Amino acid sequence: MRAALLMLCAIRLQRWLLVIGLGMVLIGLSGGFVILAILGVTLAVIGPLVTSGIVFRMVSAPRPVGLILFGRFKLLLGQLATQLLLAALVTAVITAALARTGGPHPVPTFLAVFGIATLAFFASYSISHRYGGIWWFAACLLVPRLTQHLSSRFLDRPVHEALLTPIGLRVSALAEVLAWVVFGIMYLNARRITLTSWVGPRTADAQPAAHFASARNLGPYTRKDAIRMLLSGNNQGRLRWSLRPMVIVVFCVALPALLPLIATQGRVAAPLVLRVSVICAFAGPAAAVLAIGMMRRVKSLWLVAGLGRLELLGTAERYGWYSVAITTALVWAVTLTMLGAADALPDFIRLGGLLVLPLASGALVLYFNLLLVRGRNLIDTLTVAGVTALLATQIICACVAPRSPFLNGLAAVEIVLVPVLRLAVVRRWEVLDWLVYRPPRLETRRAR
Amino acid sequence: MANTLALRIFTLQPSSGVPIYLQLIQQVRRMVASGQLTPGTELPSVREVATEYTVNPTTISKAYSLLENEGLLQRNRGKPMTIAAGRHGAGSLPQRLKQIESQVDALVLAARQLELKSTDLCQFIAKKMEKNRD
Amino acid sequence: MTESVVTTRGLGKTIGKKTILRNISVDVDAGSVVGIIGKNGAGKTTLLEILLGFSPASNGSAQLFGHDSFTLPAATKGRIGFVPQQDELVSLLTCRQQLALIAALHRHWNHALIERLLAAWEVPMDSLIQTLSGGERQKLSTLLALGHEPELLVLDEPVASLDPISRRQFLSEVIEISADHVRTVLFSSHIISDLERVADQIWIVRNGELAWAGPLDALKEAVVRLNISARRLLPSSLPLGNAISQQISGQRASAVVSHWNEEQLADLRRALDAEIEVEPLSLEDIFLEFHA
Repeated sequence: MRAALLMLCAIRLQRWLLVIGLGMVLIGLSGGFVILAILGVTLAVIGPLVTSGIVFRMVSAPRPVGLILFGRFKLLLGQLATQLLLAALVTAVITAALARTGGPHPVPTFLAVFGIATLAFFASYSISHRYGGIWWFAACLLVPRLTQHLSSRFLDRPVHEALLTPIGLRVSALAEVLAWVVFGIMYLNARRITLTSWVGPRTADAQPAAHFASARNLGPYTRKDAIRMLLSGNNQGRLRWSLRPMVIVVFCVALPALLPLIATQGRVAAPLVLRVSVICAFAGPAAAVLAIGMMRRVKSLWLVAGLGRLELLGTAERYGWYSVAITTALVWAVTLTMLGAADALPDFIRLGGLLVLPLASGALVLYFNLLLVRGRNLIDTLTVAGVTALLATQIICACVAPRSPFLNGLAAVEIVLVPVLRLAVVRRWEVLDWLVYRPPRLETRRAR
Repeated sequence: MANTLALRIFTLQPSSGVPIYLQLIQQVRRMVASGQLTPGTELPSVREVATEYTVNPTTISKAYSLLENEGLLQRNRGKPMTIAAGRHGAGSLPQRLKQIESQVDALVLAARQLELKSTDLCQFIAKKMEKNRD
Repeated sequence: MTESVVTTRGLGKTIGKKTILRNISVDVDAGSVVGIIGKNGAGKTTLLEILLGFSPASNGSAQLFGHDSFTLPAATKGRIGFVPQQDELVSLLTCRQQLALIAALHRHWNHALIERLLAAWEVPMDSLIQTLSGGERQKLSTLLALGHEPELLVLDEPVASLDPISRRQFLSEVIEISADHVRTVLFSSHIISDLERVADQIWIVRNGELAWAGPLDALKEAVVRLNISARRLLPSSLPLGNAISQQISGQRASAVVSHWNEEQLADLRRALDAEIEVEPLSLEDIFLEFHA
């Protein structure tokens, strides 16, 4: 139980989101604004949903946990309780909201939502350790297609209707229970749960040192190279460095792309434009996630590279922009190809809005991260809540109403916000105090 | 006659309550008094001692300077420090004279009683010291 | 004329409501080896970070090589080497790559020195940093700061994870560095026996203030324990001007005093009509007495 509450309320940010989300739910329910209610509950729930796996792994990684009697078991129960609670919450809201319009029956909705939550949990659990998470994303994308394909062969009706039948419901419930049992057994028996730095691919064990050394030039690095490597914390080529955000994008895409599909029992098909808009909405923030890793390393450049505070800001800014730009370019390539191939290009304004979105939101998240250098205080918390709400709205909007001009409006707001944020960022960095700003160190060392 | 010493002739304890330079000074004094260090013996350089015992060279340098002021050591330009000549024995001239003061008082008293003149006494003493030298 | 390498005047630091440092004024001349000791949380790391410009002082000033710490020019930064308590190594590189990385950022790099030390300190050169043990990481961090032969070397607990042999090797290197009285070393450590060997100045940080900032030799001579055995009953509190602690029972007493000098001995003997033994204290004992 404690774990469940922890997930929901631990971080101050999450508390804000919870309050806002619940507020929206209440308003939505009472006023009959379906969208608002769904938006609200998604807002409240999206945090724990996406990060539950990672946090779970982090919490179970330290050795003492394995030594506490039934420590892991308790954690597992707590996590299960959390997932059930979240699913129940979402189901309750959806049912209540859609009750007026003759909405779906609570039980299958619950199963569906719980299934999604489980998938998300497993996915984020795996991704925090090696690239095993990749297989989960692939599964998330492929399995629905596969089942639809199979069902059209063997059953005489589509899968989602098959699931509605009592047999179908029992099967899916059984599947979910089974999944948790298997996971539980694996988890409890795992000898060591390691949390490895998820900045960069793991090649340590697979390849001998010699190969690694020859792969990268040992010879003298240029100053620019050195700074970049110190900032990014890895030694990869510039292009591969930006591929990680694409991975994050794929991960985030799988989740919400499925949500509307299943929640509305497949009645609303996921159009191409939806997928495109979702990708665009996610790409920006995902690319800027890299900035978080960079911020931790900026301090080491102060003495060694002899850079002043504003110069450090300039360097961090430059690399952040670079990451956002590369990701945006990739997104443009992908989405334009998709749209062009399906011959479904929306009109110019909406297209422009869609394409600008990754750039604008990426820049927003970048400067937003650069802003948070003053430790904890009220203004910062409010800003965090505000920006998160903005981004969440953007994402939800992209999922739910991809064709509306609302997205364009959001993009415009972001474009205006960016220079404003930048001014604040510059002022803060002029007097950056590293005793006040202590970024947490996520990387753990490998113990011998 | 100059002979270089083995490096580890001192026993320095950094964790003692006595500062390292004092330990060094006391040891050199003792060794000179007991004859372990003869005049002209070369002492290892400041840097050598610091490296051998893994201690700060400043404290060694301080010890050497103080010993030089005391007259126990002699600085030779371009060469390592050596024990100053004629310095083995206990301390400076006034100190040494003080040690035999009681015997000299007795001698002077006896000489007075025998009505000896100071010049005769001094010549006698000088002759005795000559004889004692070999 | 020796330029003062580090100068602070009335340095203080307050974060929020907590005052971490108070009124610190010190001077460090070139060629010194300064050992900094203090309880955990006394403010050692804060002091070092302010000196290096990571954080602005709330009051007073801090200067390195004559420049204000907060706005150190790049050229001055090149004269400084810093080994932080938490190392800042890039896990995915090999040791050689990490060294090459840092070498690229400095104009001057002594490759021969680094090669020699890599071999002597037994740091595996071609292993990935994430496979190194804690001690090896520390050694590598230290090497990174030594390569460009800085005039000021600042180390924050550089030997905490090292075995005694490695520690001794490190100390030898510090002595080598400071031997010509041109390069300065500042290092904080909990291993007091190490400091007694190599430091010539000691700073004791207690509750954000400097309880002592001066030569180690003077400290050992100034803080002594007096073991008193009197011929008559002793008063309940001894007539000592600067006693840090005292224990009296009947005719015997033991007191620790600071600012001791030999002239006080005769007076005290007469005043108390007692035999007094002056016992010098090791640095560890002094440190414990300062915090008793």
